[in-house]
Amino acid sequence: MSHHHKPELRRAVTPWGSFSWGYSDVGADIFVGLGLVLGAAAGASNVAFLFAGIVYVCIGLAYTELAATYPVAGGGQYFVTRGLGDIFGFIAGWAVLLDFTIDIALFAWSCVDYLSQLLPIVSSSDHPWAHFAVTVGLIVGLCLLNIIGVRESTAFNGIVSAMDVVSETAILTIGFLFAFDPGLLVHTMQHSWPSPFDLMKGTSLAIVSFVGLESISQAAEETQRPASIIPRTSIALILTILIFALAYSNLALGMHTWHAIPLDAHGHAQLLWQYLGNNDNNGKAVALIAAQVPYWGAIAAFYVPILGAILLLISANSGVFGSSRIAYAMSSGSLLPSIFQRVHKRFRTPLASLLVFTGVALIEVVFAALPSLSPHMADAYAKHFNGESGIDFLGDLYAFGAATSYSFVFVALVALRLADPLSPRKFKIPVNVPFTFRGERVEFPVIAVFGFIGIVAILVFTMITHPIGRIAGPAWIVFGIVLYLLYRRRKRLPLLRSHKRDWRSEQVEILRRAGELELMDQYIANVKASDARAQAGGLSQ
Amino acid sequence: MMVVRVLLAVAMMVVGGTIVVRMLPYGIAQTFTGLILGLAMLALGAYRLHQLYRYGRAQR
Repeated sequence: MSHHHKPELRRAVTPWGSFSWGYSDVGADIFVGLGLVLGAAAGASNVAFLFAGIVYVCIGLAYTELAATYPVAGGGQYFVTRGLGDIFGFIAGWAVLLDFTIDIALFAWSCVDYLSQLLPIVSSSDHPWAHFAVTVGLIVGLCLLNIIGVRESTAFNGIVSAMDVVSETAILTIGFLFAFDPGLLVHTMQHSWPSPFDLMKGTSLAIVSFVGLESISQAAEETQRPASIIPRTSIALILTILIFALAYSNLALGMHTWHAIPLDAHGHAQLLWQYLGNNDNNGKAVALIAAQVPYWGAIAAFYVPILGAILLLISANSGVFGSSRIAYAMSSGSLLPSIFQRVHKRFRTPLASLLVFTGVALIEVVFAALPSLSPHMADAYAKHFNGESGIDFLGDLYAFGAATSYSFVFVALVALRLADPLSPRKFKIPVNVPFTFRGERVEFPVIAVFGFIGIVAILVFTMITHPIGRIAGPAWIVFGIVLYLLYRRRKRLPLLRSHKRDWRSEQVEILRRAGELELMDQYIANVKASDARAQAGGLSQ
Repeated sequence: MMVVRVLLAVAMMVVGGTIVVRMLPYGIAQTFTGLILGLAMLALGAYRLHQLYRYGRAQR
């Protein structure tokens, strides 16, 4: 055949599909985050969630604007490459890749934790080898599912996301109406307020509950008419997730339990938040709180562990999907070798990316499982990492990767507002200061500055309070930079500078492929008007 | 499907309103996280109902 088409990722995601890709990733976070944050921030868990939640809303708005303006599978790394250049784009993308591999590992791990609520044979504390084997089996299975194709998993995501939204609304509604006591909330906050160190730790873990917006911008490339659909789906997503996170944390601190809470390991009575946040239960906190809700709890005790496990599995799947697509996009932008761009001939999915990043996730699971599998390693972790458990190890790295890449995204948002004022923005973050920059009217996004300060604060909290996050996180970035420099030298591309690209024709092509033809025409008109202005300015001088 | 959407929006408003009404006697400083949650739920529920109402009218 003489006519050769370059294989492309196919367009298969509908508006609900794009919401559920995001929801199944971010929505599942609370299943992991709630117990971790309650364990660290105690009576101030709701404050930790509120702080992280405000930062998350800023991040969400930034992603919404950028994904609607540049609907490409690269997500954060594409925006940063375009705004700040190749090397920063690579670092942001590499941090996101860390997050997606952790996403696979952490959520497959937590999925088994939730399953253990009904099947004690896979409990991580009593049967660590069974827990480890099932986790590894799930990750391998997800990899195979993704090699087969995207549409099958998108339909499944949609059904489970809908069931989860209804279920969580029911649990929270009944909990707040029949068991919530504001007096108890105030009492818990006053008497169990954590130390500043623990509050910082809790806040950095709370951002874990809000990671995954990347996946909605990933889905932007596969969504029809993304500029109109993405803002709608992602704002709905941001608000839903924020409300669930705030609701669960307030309920956990101020709810009277329906059943008696078991005594702790030392035989002492414990409050609900202490029970949910201890090491045995923090991996399945949402299932336990659901079981304590009046009336509905009797049913919820059975189905929430299953629903949670399925949602976490889908979230792990979003990690597999997201990492392969980010690697594909980074490879298209000459940030990673071209092998990551190769698409399987029959299934049209990026095979090499799927195998490599699932492999990284498996290595992370091994590191996370080591302390429970071998007493010798448990001693080593206790000595060097303050005795952090497997789930803490993954949580630390997750927070680090997210905070790093999001910090860059805020800077890129500001840079792109200044450098690319011509691209039509169907959605803009509110509160902007207009001024003239290099002859063009631009708008400075004030909220991006607050968001940047917030996310950098969370990055600093992560570095201060997480012994593994502060070593393994920067080590991953340094390792990536070395690989990047070697690759760029081999390809004779500029090492620290960006190679020249024609962003204007690329933007036209992006909008054309996305089906946003009106925006494409508007962009071309803006470019022509800008060129005419520049020419007129040149002639008058 | 429409019935479920309306019920979710109403549930959100009822819960949000209940949280605000029950928390207010304890003072804003003591319960600000809960108050923000309640107000957000109230606002989102109302916004969603408004959206569904407009959607329903447009359908007719």
